[in-house]
Amino acid sequence: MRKILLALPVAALALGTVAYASDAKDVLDAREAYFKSLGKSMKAMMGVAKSFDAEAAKAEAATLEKILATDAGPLFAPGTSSTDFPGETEAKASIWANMDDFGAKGKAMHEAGAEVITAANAGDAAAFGAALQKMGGTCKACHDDYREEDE
Amino acid sequence: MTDMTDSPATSRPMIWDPLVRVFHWALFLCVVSAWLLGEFGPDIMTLHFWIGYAVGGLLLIRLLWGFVGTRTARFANFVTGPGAVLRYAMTLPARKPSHTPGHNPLGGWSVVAMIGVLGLQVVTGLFSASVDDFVFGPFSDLVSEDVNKLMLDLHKSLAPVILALVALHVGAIWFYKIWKREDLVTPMITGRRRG
Ligand code: HEC
Ligand code: HEM
Repeated sequence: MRKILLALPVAALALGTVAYASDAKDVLDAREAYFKSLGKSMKAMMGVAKSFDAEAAKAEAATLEKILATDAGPLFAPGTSSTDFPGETEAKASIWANMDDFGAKGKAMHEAGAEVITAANAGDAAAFGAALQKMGGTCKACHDDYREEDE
Repeated sequence: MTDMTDSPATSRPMIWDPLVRVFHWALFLCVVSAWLLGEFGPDIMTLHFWIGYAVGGLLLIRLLWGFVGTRTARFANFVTGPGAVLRYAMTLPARKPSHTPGHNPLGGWSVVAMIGVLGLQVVTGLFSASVDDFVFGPFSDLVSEDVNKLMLDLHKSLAPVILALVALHVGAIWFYKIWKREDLVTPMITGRRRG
């Protein structure tokens, strides 16, 4: 009896996954695109920080501002963890069990990102480098807890 | 053959010179800190890098000392062929101290393994980078991004190998202490066997 009771929700979940699979895949694709653009932006800014150029910094800050304006909430729709789609995503299921903490880590990144943008627009090389380093730390902080190690 | 150094009447000879001993404990501290910082340290990894450089510096000094140092420190005096290693390994089960005046043939190879793996760990670290984690080793620019990733993969895989070597090392010392009734720790602190 217990087995059946347990099996029911599992079956429902499995059906649900099938029904929403194409939606979920869209989420996975959008999420990947979002983080890839974030990575690209960070890399470009790293280059700018090494030999600071005010114009380039401003241009990169504008790109970052656009990326950060994305509402990341829908990118983490329920049912899109690596448990639901093994091998297709590195988003740990623990994200959805710790949404508050996950959100706080995202907020930390946004706040550091705002500092990066301010420093870039002010043409302040030292502040830009420091803010970028700080923002970089927020990437690792979240990945350490919520992203699967790549195989 | 009687080993003169076994006799309590003779003054106990120096087994490990001061450089070897300071190197040993400094390396221990630095490797443990580097590991802890890598695994649990702050997200901005500057401190991990500096401790890693210290490991690299210590290894270079030890390598040099392995050629120009005192008798027991020189590689030529403790890196032996498979015959000697095998012969020594046969004596391991005997419940008596080995009292080798320096590294025994097995221990000698464990030194080589430890220095080799730690050296690899430092080198892979220097060339590692992860854009996603925003961590860049100092030489990461000199190679392609694929090499950065490969180096980081190696760096991450070698970390548990280092832990295993440390565990083996400590386990061997316990084995000598409990099974062979030989104290190997005191000589690494005072330089001489307790007598
Ligand atoms: C709040 C958590 C969080 C923060 C902050 C965060 N990430 Fe991520 N990141 C993730 C998760 C979760 C994944 C795995 C997504 C997946 O595989 O579906 C990921 C994946 C990635 C990927 C791989 C994308 C792919 O699939 O190819 C890159 C690149 C990346 N992040 C870059 C960054 C950078 C750069 C920063 C900082 C500016 C950052 N991330 C900040 C959670 C975060
Ligand atoms: C004996 C010395 C060292 C030890 C024991 C060590 C150990 C570690 C460990 C345990 C990690 C975490 C791996 C993980 O997240 O799974 C790490 C990460 C890292 N280490 Fe080292 N390390 C050493 C030296 C160095 C050196 C010299 C450098 C270069 C300056 C370096 C650069 C890095 C980098 C770039 C990372 C990746 C951080 C990340 O992306 O998460 N390490 N190290």
